[in-house]
Amino acid sequence: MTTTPRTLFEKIWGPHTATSRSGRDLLTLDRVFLHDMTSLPAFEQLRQRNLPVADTARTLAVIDHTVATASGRTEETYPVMAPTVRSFRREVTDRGIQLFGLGDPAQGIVHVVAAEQGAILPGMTAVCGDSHTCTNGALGAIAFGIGSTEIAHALAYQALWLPRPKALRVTVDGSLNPLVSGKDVALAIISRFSTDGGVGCAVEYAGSAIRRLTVEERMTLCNLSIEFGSRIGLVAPDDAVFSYLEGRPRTPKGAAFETAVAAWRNLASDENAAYDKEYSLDAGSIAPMVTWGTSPEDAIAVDGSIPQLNQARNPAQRARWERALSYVDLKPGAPIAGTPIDVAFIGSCTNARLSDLRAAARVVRGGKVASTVRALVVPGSSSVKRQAEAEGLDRIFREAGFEWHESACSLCASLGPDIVGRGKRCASTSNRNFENRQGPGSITHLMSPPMVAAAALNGGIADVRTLA
Amino acid sequence: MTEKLTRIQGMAVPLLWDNVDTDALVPAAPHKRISGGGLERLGEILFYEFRFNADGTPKPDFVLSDPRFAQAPILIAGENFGCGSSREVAVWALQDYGFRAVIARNFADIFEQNSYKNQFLPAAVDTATHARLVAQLRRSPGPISIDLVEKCIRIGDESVGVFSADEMGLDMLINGVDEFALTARYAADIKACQDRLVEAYPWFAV
Ligand code: SF4
Repeated sequence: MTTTPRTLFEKIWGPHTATSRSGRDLLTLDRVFLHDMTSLPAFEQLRQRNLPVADTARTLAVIDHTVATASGRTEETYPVMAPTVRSFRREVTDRGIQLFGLGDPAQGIVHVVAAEQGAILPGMTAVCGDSHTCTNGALGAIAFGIGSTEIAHALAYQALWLPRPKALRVTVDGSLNPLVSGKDVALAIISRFSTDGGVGCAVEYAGSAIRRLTVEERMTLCNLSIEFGSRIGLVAPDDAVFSYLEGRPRTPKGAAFETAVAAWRNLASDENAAYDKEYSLDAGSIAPMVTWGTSPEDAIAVDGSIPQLNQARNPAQRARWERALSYVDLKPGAPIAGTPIDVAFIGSCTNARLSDLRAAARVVRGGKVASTVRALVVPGSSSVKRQAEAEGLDRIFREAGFEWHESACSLCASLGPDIVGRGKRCASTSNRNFENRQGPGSITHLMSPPMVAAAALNGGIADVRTLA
Repeated sequence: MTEKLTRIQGMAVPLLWDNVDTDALVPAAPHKRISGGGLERLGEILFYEFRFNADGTPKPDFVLSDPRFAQAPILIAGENFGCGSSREVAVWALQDYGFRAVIARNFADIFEQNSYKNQFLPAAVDTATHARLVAQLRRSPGPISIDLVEKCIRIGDESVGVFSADEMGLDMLINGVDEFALTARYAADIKACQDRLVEAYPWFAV
């Protein structure tokens, strides 16, 4: 008997399908992650329906979205959202859900914490009320963002009705150039295949360049799947993933770990597995990327120029570019390097893990932040912060003039007190350059941590390759 | 049982932008200020940064400020509507403002699912239908109707084209299906599926 070759995605989705009906699968969920911004309406719905949380042990909660990051912060530091945070803490602790709140050594941004805890493992399905839940697809799992009603449903039934996504493979072969990282690969993919190139799809990243990415770079890449339209992004797990996971609090131990690894080795797409869509990109062609506009697809090589309006693929894109250029106050055809910045932000679940901080610190070491720039580092988790301090990275940043913050989402979504400021321009390692995303009137340029470091020292967008 | 949604009729506001993101629908700053990130007065902050100046006065040239569209139940947008954040307040704000449907070339996946949970229609139309609809409304602005059962968009009695939506999603809108009650009927299937997984992969249990 021959079996049909299956993709990595199918190998996880298939066994998690409890039943199917009217074109949808009832997908069982292994983990539900909660945070302070989108969970309260879900708890309210559970209360109205008189439904309990089905399995608190499979659930984990953090406080990250709406809190301050200044040293010494508490839940009360940002009074606007303090009642929300307090209610959230009460809702989860009353139900016996494990919470990593402020002051907890394991607190941090939900997706960073989930991986650090080993709370999401290869072959699992996991959901969270944050669109960047796709981050941990890097571990070979199906992880995706959901709305608040879906959170309530997931908590009540450990399952969701979903249309089965199409399988998309993005293959990146070849070797990346120095100072080109997972962030640049992601921005290159989005700019090439557009911000809705992956709508309706689960995207699997494959190819020799992807296999050589570190686990943390894969997290950055998978994180940006949603900016490519894909709710789900994943990479086949390998030895790098297994050693990343070994010894984490919720990872199986001893012989159980070996058994798990043996099972995880089967989590790769079969040869000749069929995809609904395929894209490919040559790793060698990717330069350090930076966005000029108000969509992640507005990304260009740092030594490139903002496109001319007549390069737009259709009138709608031209109109969007015109609006974007007017918002970001830049001119078509102008080089992007040299654009002065006001704020430099190293943070978010996209790019604030230890390797991101190390990469930025290598550029910063011995330099000084330009006098016109406010530069800040907001580590992805409290644990990342401690490890960075143990390595002396905080000193490198501080001596150069960076602020060194407590972990939270901070400037990524401006849901806490941190904002960029009206008309201010921010070089940011986060994931969205939407209008007003980093606060009313903020202008965002997305780039990698070394590129943000270079911009901070230079006072404007700079090619890190010429600085290093 | 939830209210059934079979027909939506009224003015359609053309906001023909691509990539309208959920931060644009519900921006963080007014959301925090007005309700501490909660669910009050969401209609007031819909498209806040586009509707209002920094000092809070309305921007007269934004399409929602046009009095002809004051009661409009339908929004027409371009491609990739609802991209970005998973925030369901984006749908709730559209509803609170008075919208019942968005017609767009296509929708971001999370926004689309959030819509079905709230008896809100994400109607995807192909390029030709989109162009026809926009052109006709430009020539003679007036009410349109969306027939969910026939999946048809009409101006007067004349069909402009069909829309697509996911089968179960549309069924939930038309029949007012309560998804929670539906799922409860499949509790045994969920349990069986989880048991199979835990037997094969014991670490799935905690
Ligand atoms: S850092 Fe940004 S994208 Fe990540 S979880 Fe926080 S708000 Fe969401």
